[in-house]
Amino acid sequence: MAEAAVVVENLRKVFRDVVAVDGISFNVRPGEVFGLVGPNGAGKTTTLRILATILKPTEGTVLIYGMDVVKEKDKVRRIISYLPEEAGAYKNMTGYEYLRLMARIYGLSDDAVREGARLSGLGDALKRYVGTYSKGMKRRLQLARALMVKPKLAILDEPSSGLDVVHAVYVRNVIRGFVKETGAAVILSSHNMLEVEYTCDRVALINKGRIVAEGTPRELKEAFNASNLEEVFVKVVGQQ
Amino acid sequence: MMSELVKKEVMTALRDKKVIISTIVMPVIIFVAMGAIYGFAFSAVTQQAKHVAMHAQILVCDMDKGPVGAYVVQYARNHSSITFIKNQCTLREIAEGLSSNRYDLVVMVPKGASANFTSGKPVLVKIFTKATGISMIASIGVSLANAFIDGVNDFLRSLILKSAGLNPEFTVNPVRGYAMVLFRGRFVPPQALASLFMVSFTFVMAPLIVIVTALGFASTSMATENEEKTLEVLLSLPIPRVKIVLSKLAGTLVIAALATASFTVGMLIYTSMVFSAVTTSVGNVSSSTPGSTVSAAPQAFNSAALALLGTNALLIMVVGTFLSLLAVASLGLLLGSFAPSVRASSTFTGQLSFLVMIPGFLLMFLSLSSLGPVGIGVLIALSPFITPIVAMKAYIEGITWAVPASLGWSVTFSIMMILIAAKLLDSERLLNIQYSLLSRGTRRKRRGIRFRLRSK
Repeated sequence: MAEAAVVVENLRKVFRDVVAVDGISFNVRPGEVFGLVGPNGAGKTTTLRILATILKPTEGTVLIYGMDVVKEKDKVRRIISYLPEEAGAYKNMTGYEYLRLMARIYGLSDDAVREGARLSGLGDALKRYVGTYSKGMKRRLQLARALMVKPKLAILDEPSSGLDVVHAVYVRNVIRGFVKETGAAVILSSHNMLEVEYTCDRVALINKGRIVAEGTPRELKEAFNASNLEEVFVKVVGQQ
Repeated sequence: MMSELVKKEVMTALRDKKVIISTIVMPVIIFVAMGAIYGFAFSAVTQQAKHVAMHAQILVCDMDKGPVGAYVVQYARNHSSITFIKNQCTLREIAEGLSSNRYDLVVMVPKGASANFTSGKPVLVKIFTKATGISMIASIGVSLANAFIDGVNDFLRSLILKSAGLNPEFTVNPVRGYAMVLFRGRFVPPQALASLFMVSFTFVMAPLIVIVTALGFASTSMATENEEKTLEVLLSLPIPRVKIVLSKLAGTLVIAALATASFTVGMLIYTSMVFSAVTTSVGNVSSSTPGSTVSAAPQAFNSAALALLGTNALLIMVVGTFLSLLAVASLGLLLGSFAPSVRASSTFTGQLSFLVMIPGFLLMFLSLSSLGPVGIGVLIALSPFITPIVAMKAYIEGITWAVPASLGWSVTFSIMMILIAAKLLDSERLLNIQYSLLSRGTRRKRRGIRFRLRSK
């Protein structure tokens, strides 16, 4: 059996007196898009930040391709790519310059930059300063930045947050295409159940820091006799 | 990788119009404008003084009617375009005459002045003039009055001495001084030292101003990463934290070096313009103003003054400036790390700037040796940001131990700040501190902000 891309066991994160993540466990396989779904404040971003080595767990372990995110964070950072929900780019750099900088940081050549340009779909706009970009363009640039380095695990926090339908569909297609092409794992968060249903192979519903249901979108819908994930979530939360 | 990060820092800074204008362009423009304004103002004042001196209308109220009164009238006639003479004047008449610009100066020689004079007692001559405002030009009559009194004194002294058969020039100044000052093993004229003071003032002021600028720039550089949401991405990248800090430091130093050059050029232009105006104007006035006692104009600084300092002192100043910039930029980066926004970072650094500058201002006027060894040690320990001033003064004053101590402490301080900033970036403590600052500032307004930096 192939090594798991992500193994999370009994993960707990406490900020002073607030429990943000309360003992969650899940696995993500290579070549899989895994969705963490839940409302604002459910613990999605905290979980992803721990996976991205930005925060440390209070309890529990997180292994990425067998490497501990606390003890081996430097190694982990080389194989992951993280897209925060509110990621910004340097406004006085052009899109190309930004992609080139990120490629160089990962020790990659201009091939990666060309791949980033293709993924972004921004064309000639990449020659303009990022400061002139719309929100959708910035998001596409960030997604391209995250995926062009061909990470073994892409951690995407609300990848299509605040985007219009056209941009959102583009982002979804890029994510699916990336996984298909590279066989890498993707873990993404969203509070948009519909989007997750279309994008993710498996989903964990998270509420108040706990995973309340996990499975493929179809399994969950069947198990809860629901027509979509929104109904599943309402039923699960209602049962608690 | 490091070079790419440095390139990014420099490139983004140099493309920021605010940075270019505020740190590189404006210093030159401001100093040149100040020099031009000063030169114009000084020239206008001296031209006015010259005009008043040459075309003054003087009223002499000679109530003495004796020899002193006659001497004063004679002097006034020799040094004014029109001289009025009266035997009696009331204060009201004098005020009206001055207000209506009929007179520029009214000299009242009291009754009995000649009697006092011949019996060897001082004569009290009252001089009235006017000021139309509080500017230099408006109060030029005061200078005229003083010059008139000095002139009359010279005139009368000369008469007295001549009547006694003495040479006035010799009697007044029987000894001519020619001062020479021992400075760093060489005898130099006092004017050279004055010029050197101006040089050191310029080379101290420019770094001091730039150091404050660098503090703000470094702090903003880090705070911008927070504000523009680029920090989170940066922290997830496979880059050692110390390289992030060092690249920002390098970027800051490049901008600071450009700003230093700009400030130095600006101040050199400014002082040259001021000296040029003073030299030209003083030359004009001293040749035309009666009784003027203006001494030789101060020298503009020049290569000779720099040569007085010596190569080693200049080298120490340059190295010290670099190390101070390094220290202050390191501190700025650390402070900027805490700041959740550019505004917050400006608040931190704005207040700190005054503290950074105070010891520098102190040392502009004090010698280092006057502080004693303990005082020097405390000064060095408290402020690694004024190294060029401390090290240069220590070198010139022969306090040799203070030179390496000052330079070394700046380096040590910088390394400490870099390591602390790198350590801070490598832990979630940074987010917690930012969260605390953010929530402290807004707690009263929005209780809900408590969870802003926490999980969704």
